[in-house]
Amino acid sequence: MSDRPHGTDHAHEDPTPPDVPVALGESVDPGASVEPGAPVDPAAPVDPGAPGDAGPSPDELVDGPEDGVSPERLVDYLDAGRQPYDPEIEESPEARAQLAALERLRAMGARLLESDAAASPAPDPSWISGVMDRVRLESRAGRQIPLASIDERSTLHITEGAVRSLIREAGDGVEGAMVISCTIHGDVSVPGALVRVEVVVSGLFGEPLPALAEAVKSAVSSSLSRQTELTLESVDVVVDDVHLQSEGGAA
Amino acid sequence: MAADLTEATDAVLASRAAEGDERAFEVLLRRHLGLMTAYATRLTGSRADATDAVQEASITIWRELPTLQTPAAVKGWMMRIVSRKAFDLIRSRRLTDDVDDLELPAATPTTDPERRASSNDAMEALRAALARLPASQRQVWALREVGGESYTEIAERTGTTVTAVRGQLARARETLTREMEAWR
Repeated sequence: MSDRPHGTDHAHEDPTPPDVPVALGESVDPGASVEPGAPVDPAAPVDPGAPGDAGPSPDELVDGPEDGVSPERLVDYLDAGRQPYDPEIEESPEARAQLAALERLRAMGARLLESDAAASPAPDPSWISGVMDRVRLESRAGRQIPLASIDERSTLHITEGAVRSLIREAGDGVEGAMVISCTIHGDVSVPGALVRVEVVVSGLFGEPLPALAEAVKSAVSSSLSRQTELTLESVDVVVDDVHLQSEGGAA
Repeated sequence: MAADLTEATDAVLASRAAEGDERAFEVLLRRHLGLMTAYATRLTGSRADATDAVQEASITIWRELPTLQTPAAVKGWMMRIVSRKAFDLIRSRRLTDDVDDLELPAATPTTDPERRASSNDAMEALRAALARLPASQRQVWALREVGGESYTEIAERTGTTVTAVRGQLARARETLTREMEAWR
């Protein structure tokens, strides 16, 4: 550990006394975390008025040129991707060793959850179905789309959500296409109003994309004309992404 | 052959779920459920509480998906909702139970000797070291190093200040790097 400006007498046994609130220069009141008699370097660029939530600000964390580099400053340097190059850290073997230890710890932290999850039992299927039941209670119906009714006293509607489902089904049914999103433009609440449907899809790598877009367009058009009363002005297809066959689990 | 959602990227699943595709949501949830539960377990210190927190988080994720600006970043966003719900639970427990510390997470989740003797030894050592930390330091460390949350977010979660968070983190890191020295 580095020699820090406080507690140098017992620093070897316990470098971070738990009763010292912040063993670093960035505390709101820098004087409070420094023990009596500790060398406070008046030249150290500590701003007493610095708000605690100012975020990483390496200049505030300098403990003094001869006192090594504070762990917190090392972490901020690591957070910044070791940029810009800090000679005081990079050229001190001690600081570099601490930096390496922090990096190792961080790398392990990043793998900890994967490792925890691998050692845990698979989720209970009934748990998932319970969550999905609650999700379905909050389905996204969207706008109501009226249907022609021969009976004037009653009204019939389909929901925008149901139309979106039809669009997704139709688009996904085209070989090599996967629907990413779809939008229904136009005043669907007025029977017979012209609507424009926009479908964004991802195409399987290797598929000819113009033919794929054309196939999605005709599948969506025919599904909507067959199953809804929407008056389609156009179906616009955008191939926005290309996917590989087996990229399951990719983020 | 129809599109197989289990091969879709997170971004595609998030966009579809935001537009109401429940199947896409289920695939997304199943894909990350293990990590979500592991994260909540790290934060609450209890598998049972974690399961409750993840359930609440899942419903909130479904509700709030339409507000997500960057579908490709859905995983990190989901994990932040998990930590939000975990701390809601921790707070409500504190109000009712008046307990200072939480049940420690198992330092040794597996007793399989071969597994323990493998390259997981360092990870086991980290688990054990984490279990010895005070609960507040352990939580703050997990929020930062495991969840990648910002100092401001962590202060909001834990109801403290950014300065206090940085102090707890510094102490947690110092203890952990010291205890992990033998495992470099």
